[in-house]
Amino acid sequence: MPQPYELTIAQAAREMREGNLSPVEMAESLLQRIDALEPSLQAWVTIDREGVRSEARERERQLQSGGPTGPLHGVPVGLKDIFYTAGMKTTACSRIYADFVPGYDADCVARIKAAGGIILGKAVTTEFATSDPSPTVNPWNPAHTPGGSSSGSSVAVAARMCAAALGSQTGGSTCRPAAYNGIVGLKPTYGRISRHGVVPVSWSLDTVGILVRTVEDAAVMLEAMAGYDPKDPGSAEQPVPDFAAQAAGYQRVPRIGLLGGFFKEHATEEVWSHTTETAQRLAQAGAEVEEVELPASFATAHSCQRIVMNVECAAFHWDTFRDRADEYGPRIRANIETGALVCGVDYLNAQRLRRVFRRDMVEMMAGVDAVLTPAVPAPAPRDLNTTGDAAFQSPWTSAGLPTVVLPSGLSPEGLPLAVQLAAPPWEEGRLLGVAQWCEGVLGVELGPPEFP
Amino acid sequence: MAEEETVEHILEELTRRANGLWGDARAAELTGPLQDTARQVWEVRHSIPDAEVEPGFYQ
Repeated sequence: MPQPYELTIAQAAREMREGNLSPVEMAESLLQRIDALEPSLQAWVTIDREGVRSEARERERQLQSGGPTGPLHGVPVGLKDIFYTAGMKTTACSRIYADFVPGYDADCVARIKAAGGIILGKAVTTEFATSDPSPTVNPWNPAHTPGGSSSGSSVAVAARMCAAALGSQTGGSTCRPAAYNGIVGLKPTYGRISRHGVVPVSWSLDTVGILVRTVEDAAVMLEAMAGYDPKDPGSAEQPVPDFAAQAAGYQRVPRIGLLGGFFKEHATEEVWSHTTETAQRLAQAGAEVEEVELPASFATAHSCQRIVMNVECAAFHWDTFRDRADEYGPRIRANIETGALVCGVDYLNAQRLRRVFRRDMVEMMAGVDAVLTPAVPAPAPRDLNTTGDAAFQSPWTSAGLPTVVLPSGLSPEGLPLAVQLAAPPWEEGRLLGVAQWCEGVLGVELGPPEFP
Repeated sequence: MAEEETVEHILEELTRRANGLWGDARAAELTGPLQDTARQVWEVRHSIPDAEVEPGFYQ
């Protein structure tokens, strides 16, 4: 059997069910892994060692007594440090929230616990989940950015310090670092997972994201957290199906739309070639692949996302910022300062354009099961002063549509390459089914070379 | 009016507001972000949707 820290959620659950692995062994294996790697990777803000051990012992007792077990029973999960955790600091990696200890758990954190999961700790985020780079290191090459803003969560999963971690996405903050670190990222439909108890960047864009190593695990995590929450005004009353069963039961050969246009023009030649080769491999395996054209409204998608994000970010921070501007990092400070200058008419027209864009993107996908793009324009940049380019994620975030990023190979310099799949709103079951089919065809599972 | 408005006009408008809100020195430091914002606002102002389209804050 592999080391416990190497197991996916599904593998760990199976081993625990069959009595081959205890929650305590799983927790200790991950804690040792973190002790060994954290000095070099700097992925964590807080590790709750005693809490993890105590919860693991409780989960073990439940297993032994035949008590309740959920889909995440005994699985330690990392949280980006913007998710409220009762009694545990939630700093947003900022000076402003440096000593903030919430009195309650974020709704999605409570649901993870209810599913049997154990909160391992809080992972590094860029400051307030925006774009000032974090100290976290890319495990594939420390000279390259790990991406952001969910940098610690992505690196922790890639380096096998946990099987799953939560991120968030306002522009590209879940799927971009997933691509840069060679793991699976899922950004669900806006409103699918409650944002209650999550430090916001932008209320109308923020989406809870999932970072894991397999599509199956993404489905398990989504099912554990999805569902209506009246405390989140953006939460939707949508049924929550058995996503893992839907993904596993996806039998048909997928119809996949390959999106060129903007994605082709902004990808490096190497990345676009890799994407078309990947599409060819999928077609050879039976997928119906056809080229699909972006709607005209795509032209303003990036600008609308930026305007909405900066204005809402300015609104959230306004009271604090006026007295403590010097305590903010340079990029979020500029976001707030420019967001405060945009007039209400321009903000509202950006919101109106988002609505048109979402409608057009749904129409665009009418004849296919999912659309395929490169996940990022280029592999992780060799520049620690950036978190990379979110241009291939932010339109989907702006439209509120679900996306999955899948590792699909390695660049000549040994960095992860990835593709992105997207589907209409509330079609995560179909999206995960297509993604799992592609995952099986591609057969790419990546582990950083130093951390095989 | 919108057809005649350029990115430069919007940049001037934003820079005036930045001078007033954040001071001349800070506004000068924000030149790059202000240029980006001006281009974004220009795009929005030149793509106004049909009158019946309402904003959809929570999709």
